[in-house]
Amino acid sequence: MSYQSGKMGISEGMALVFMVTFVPVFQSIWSITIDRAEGAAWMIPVINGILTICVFLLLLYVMERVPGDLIDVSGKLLGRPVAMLIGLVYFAHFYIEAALLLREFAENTLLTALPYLEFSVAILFYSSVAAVILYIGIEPLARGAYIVMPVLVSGVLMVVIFLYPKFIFLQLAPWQGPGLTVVLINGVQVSGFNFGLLLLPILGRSLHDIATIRYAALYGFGLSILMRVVMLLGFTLVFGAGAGREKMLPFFEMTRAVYTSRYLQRIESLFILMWVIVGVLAIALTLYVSIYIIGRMFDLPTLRPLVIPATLVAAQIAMLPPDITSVLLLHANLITAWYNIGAIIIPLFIAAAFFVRRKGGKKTWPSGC
Amino acid sequence: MAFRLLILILLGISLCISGCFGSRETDDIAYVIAVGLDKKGEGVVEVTYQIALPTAQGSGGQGSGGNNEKFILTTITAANLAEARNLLTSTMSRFPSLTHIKAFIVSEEYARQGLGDLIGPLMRFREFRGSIMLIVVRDTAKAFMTENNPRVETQISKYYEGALYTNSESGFYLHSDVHDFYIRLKNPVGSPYAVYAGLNPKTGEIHPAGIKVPPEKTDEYLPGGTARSGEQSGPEFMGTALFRADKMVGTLTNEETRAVEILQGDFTRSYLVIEDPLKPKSSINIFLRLGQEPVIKIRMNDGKPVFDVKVRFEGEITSIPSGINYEIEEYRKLLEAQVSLLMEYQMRKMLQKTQELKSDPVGFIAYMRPTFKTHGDMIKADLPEFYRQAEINLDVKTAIRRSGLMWRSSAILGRQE
Repeated sequence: MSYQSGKMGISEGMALVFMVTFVPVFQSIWSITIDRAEGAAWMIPVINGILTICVFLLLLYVMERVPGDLIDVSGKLLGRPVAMLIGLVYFAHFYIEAALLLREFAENTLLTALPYLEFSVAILFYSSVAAVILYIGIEPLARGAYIVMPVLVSGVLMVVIFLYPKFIFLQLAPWQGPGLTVVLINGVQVSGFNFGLLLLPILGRSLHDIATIRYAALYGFGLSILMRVVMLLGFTLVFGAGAGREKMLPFFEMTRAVYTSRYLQRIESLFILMWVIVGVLAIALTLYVSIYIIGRMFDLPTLRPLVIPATLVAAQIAMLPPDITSVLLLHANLITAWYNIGAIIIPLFIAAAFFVRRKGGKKTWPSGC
Repeated sequence: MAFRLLILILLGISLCISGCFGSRETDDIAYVIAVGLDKKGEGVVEVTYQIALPTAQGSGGQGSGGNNEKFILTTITAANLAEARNLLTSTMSRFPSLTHIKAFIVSEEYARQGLGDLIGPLMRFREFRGSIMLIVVRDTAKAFMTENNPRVETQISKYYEGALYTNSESGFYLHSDVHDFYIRLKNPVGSPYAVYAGLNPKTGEIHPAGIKVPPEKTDEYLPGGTARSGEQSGPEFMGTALFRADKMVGTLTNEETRAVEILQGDFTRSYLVIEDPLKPKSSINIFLRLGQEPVIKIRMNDGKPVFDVKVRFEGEITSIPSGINYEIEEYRKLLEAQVSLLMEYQMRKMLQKTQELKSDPVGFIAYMRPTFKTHGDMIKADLPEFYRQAEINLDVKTAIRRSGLMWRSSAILGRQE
């Protein structure tokens, strides 16, 4: 399996970013967001989105001048040991995220659609399908994601529109939520949620060029932020901060709340299908990026031999936490702390290294590592 | 080879996840349509299940009459809903499914002790939905469900769903479901409320819930108060059960309920029977609706909220028994003022009652939310007390836009005045 094709364009890149940065909102994470920011929860994705995209554009500025993908650039600016360390950090980010998504989607399948299913069978199902997709490779995965993306976006918009009769606009007040400073701090803290955006420079060799990465990031990530704001607004307007913070599956609750007439109700079963499809794609994608990083770090000629062991280990890690509340709290802690390293700190570190070295007189960098 | 293997794996996975392993056939399931709850002492509840009879549903429910046509009732006394459900399973050969419940019927006695313990589990359990209608009954839930045999409907589920929507024809009871109730329990957007229902003795005797004040021409009622007889079964939805937090604290009559609906902006239409301004013994019928959404503005005066409310009605004359020409402008103004006067009186009556009870069904406290700087400040504030102290100014105006299929009235020839 070649993983350095460079055949993917803006559409594929956009779909990849959208899947990784948007799909986790189908899980429980916004209940925690609403708990922290109350009526102003919709500002959180705006704040962390702006911060992440600014840091990302700074990284792209560096990558325009230092050729290569993220690992190459890190190696050229910081040396191979640090590049390896950075690679390991991103590997851990994507791999842990894959395991957590696996666990949460499996748990939520039991919770919503198949309550009598054995938990291990649900994990087996998600991991098997993800493994099959991984075998096919990143390009079909990206194109599949691109096909699913409009369905996903229109589905989410439809749910929000159908919920309009239940909107209570004053649920957003007091407009500052817990206070603008608290919202700002929380918004910055959860920037780690967007670490998936970094998959573009990581998969740099599979994409055409820097311009492709830039537009894919702007469109894919921009759409992801917009949809997150729409969903959070819709959810807050329907459930308010008081009831919203209790929900295990906010989007599922939104679909359950749709009741426009006796002919248009109980639509959640349709969305469970969509939800499972995008869940599998997101798990496969995060797993792919993690094993891609291992392949890149150790210059492996192919990734396929890693697919089954990596999937099995991820499934095992997914089953480690004793209960769903532990998973949610762990995920929340990762997003507010650990993932910020990948989303913000490392790109800033690379940019700082670039500016220091440029100030030191180095103006050009060779292509290749 | 790899491709064939892949196809085999995919086929295997799709067979395993087709969902048929946990499936149940329709004829293995007993569909519960409504659940009634009555208190039976400390920590004990009497749960009445209204279970649809599938054969009756399939055949359109035609037959000789009686409860057994459409549903059966099973009453179980247990510690709570979960235990009652377990016990219900032991009474039948089918698996009881709660996914199609349309209504929760709670006795007033239960509601006055608080519904917090009931509503919490409802929102957690996947089989219950927010769209389930919440009804508080004056009598016991069991009696209400036993008497409730709607002969017009072929399906009991359709009866509850229909009842939830026919309120738009009169405004005499509100649309109230578990979702709305829960949202109001957990968010400061107004006090929770539920549909108020009861049994009518069908003796044909009238039991009004208040006195008529001119220009009112009609009585106001609580459930069971209307003069009714005939073959339609006893239950009637009339008025609103008011709550403060999770405890029922009072009731609203049908007219007061309509006033709530008007101020919420959800009032669709209703017939209004009003005293003839020039011939008080006679009445005029107006088909009334909102001309625009009510505009509610808040200002604080010495720490007390003052709400300025603008309500605009539009009406259509549907009957002028006196024959006075209210279609022309000079008389029409009189009629418009009369309608405004009546509606303002009914709204004030409702507001006075709810302010005394510190229960805010309209949701005035939601308009106070932007006056707080942070969510924490808002939660700390005693919003029901603010509502009790609030000064509410009403500005009600009516425009008679149409006069039905007649553009002028003329006197009946030879009629003795």
